[in-house]
Amino acid sequence: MTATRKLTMAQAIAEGIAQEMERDPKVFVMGEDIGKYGGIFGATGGLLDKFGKDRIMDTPISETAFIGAATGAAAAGMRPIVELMFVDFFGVCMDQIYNHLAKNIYMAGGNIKLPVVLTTAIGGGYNDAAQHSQCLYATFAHMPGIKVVVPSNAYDAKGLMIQAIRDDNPVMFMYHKGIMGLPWMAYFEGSSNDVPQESYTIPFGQAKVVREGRDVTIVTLSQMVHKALLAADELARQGVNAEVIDLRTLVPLDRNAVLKSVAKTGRLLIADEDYLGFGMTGEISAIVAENLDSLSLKAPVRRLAVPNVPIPYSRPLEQFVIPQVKGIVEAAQQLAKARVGERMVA
Amino acid sequence: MQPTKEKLLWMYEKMVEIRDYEETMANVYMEGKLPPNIQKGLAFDIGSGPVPGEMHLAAGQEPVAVGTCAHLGKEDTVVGTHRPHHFAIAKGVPLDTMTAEMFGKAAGLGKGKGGHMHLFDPEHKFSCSGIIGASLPPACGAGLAAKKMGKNWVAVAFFGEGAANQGSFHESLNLAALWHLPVIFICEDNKWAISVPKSEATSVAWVADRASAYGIPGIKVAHNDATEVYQAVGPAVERARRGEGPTLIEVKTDRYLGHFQGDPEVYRPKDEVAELRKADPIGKLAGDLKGRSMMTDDEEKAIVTRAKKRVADAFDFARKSAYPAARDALNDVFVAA
Amino acid sequence: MIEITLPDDVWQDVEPGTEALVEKWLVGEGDTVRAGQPIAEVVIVKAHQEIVAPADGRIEKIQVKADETFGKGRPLALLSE
Repeated sequence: MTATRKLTMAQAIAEGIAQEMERDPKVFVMGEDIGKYGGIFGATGGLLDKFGKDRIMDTPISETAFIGAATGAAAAGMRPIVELMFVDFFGVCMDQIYNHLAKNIYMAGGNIKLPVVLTTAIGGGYNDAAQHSQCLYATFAHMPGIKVVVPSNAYDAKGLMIQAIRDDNPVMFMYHKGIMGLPWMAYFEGSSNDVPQESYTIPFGQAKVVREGRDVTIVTLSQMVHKALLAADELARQGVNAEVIDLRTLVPLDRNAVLKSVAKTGRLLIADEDYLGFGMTGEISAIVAENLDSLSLKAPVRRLAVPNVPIPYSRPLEQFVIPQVKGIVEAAQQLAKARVGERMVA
Repeated sequence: MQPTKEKLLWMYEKMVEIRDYEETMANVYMEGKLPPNIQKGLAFDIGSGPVPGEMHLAAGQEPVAVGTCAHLGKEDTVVGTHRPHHFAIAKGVPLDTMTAEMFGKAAGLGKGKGGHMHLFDPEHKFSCSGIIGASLPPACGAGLAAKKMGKNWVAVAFFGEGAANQGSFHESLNLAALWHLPVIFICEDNKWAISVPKSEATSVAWVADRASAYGIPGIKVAHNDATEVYQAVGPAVERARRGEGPTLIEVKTDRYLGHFQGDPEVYRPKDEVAELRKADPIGKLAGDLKGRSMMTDDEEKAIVTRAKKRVADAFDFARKSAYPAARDALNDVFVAA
Repeated sequence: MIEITLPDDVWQDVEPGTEALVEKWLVGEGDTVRAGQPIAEVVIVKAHQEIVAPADGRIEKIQVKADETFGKGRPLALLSE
């Protein structure tokens, strides 16, 4: 059993990157403020001191150029990690991501490798308004060709990061700011946990049952996992036993974990911080709906997500649109009482 | 083009107002965010307090805003950046609704939905964005509309030196040049793009030198001085109004505070700000005005008192205003069809 | 016994009453330390600061634990020479 110590998710990510950089000289990092600053959200903390400016490269504000350069460098044999500071900034560089990084392997008939890890910060809840608070993992999961990894805690983050760096395919690694364990933003404490000192990987496409239960299945990911666990504690006090599934990756998606749990409980609540319309909650619901020949639902599916409005700045408005612990509890309570064939009163 | 006494006094008063606003906001922003009354284990809680979220203040950068807006009327458009207060104040955006917006109140410019980086005042044709480089294309659009409507209105796009490396900068300069749009592109070089200095991000020493690549004039303003900015912007505005197309102007300015409030600025040499403050443009203009007998000590006091009162009243209004109802979050995605 | 504090000059630009946070102890009670050795990491507002041992000696007592906050002048630990 190797030594472990409690790390924040930011520290775990930086450690995963550092260990791979020590192992493989082809790994390097590009991005804005990733050097001396250590990344605006700490994902590259300490790396400049360890590896120097040739491998930890601060870039100009030129996302199209440096993300496109990551694709080109990967095609030429390097293994770049490139940071898009906030996922919301994808607009300025999306062509390089979805038309090139995501499609080139396919268009080349699988004859090239593009080992790029695109790291990015997601999530709101601290009043950063519409252009700095989104999750958008569904947007990237929707378009084919890029793997989508969304850790909820330090232990998973390190294993998934090392897996991502070793993967010869493009991987989008999306870390929620509100679980990085930064000393300047309120965070859910379950996200900082024991992390082994050694290197390890966590395979993609394997969800984790973070809490076992019988009555209701809550499928979720990222910071929402911690809200769901707090909700599950409250629900347990009310006699409702919730099973919480942390998806960990959206591409590839662990459909079986979802189906297995729903087959057991018959009641599904999907909790998501991304937009409701045309998103993750719809995808999970559809997968279940397609499998109603081998499992049955005791109640209609419930979805909690951000309504299709830009995320508002003002505190009462932001708290209203982003699902909260209280909302998860209420939805699960209603779900526990509902029946297929009966109308639920909202 | 020399500023008149009226213009000089206006610029001075506006700079005093802006500086007082930014310094007031620097303190108010910190309310509720520091230990001991925040979540255990945090040294700072960005989501707490009456003005939560990010805050980017422009103390030190006042000359660019006033030297430019002194040439603009209500019908001219200004598109600003994530660090927008000095532009907004100089353009005439009302302090009370602007501040209420930053407090997230229903009486705010955007009913609390936009926040400090997303201030929209259609009456004064002011808007801004949190995305680097996003100001240039809409300014081109405002210029395009003015041309189509047969007006001699102009549009100003403000952006930082970091934005000059973003694709939208290059596309916008080319488009405005090609279509002879009445746009003035004004680059605030405060030397820092968060933690990255200009020398490590930009391939040329002066962004203004990139103007020639697009066939437009590039003007350099080497000092953080309201009068120098005024003298550079005036001809550019007149060119634009005459239909002669866009100009790129670069102003060397100084950012006194961090990139965002709470920024530990570990990347910045320790004495840099103290040195910069010695050349404070507001003090310099006061000295100039008094030296030329355009302002007495008593008049100066009166200006400062007036300006501070306007700022204090605005913060007072914002504090006393009501928050919007939670469900209001669902409205205003679209206007009535 | 020497009281180890976060030096006063670090508190200069901070509002009175604000507290700083101990992020992490690098040593424990009973550990021998050398002068200049980093012994703790603290954060004040958003700036990370390192606390170093002011002299050679032994850490007798840690008075502010990790994740706790402290005000100006408060001893973080006691060092016996």
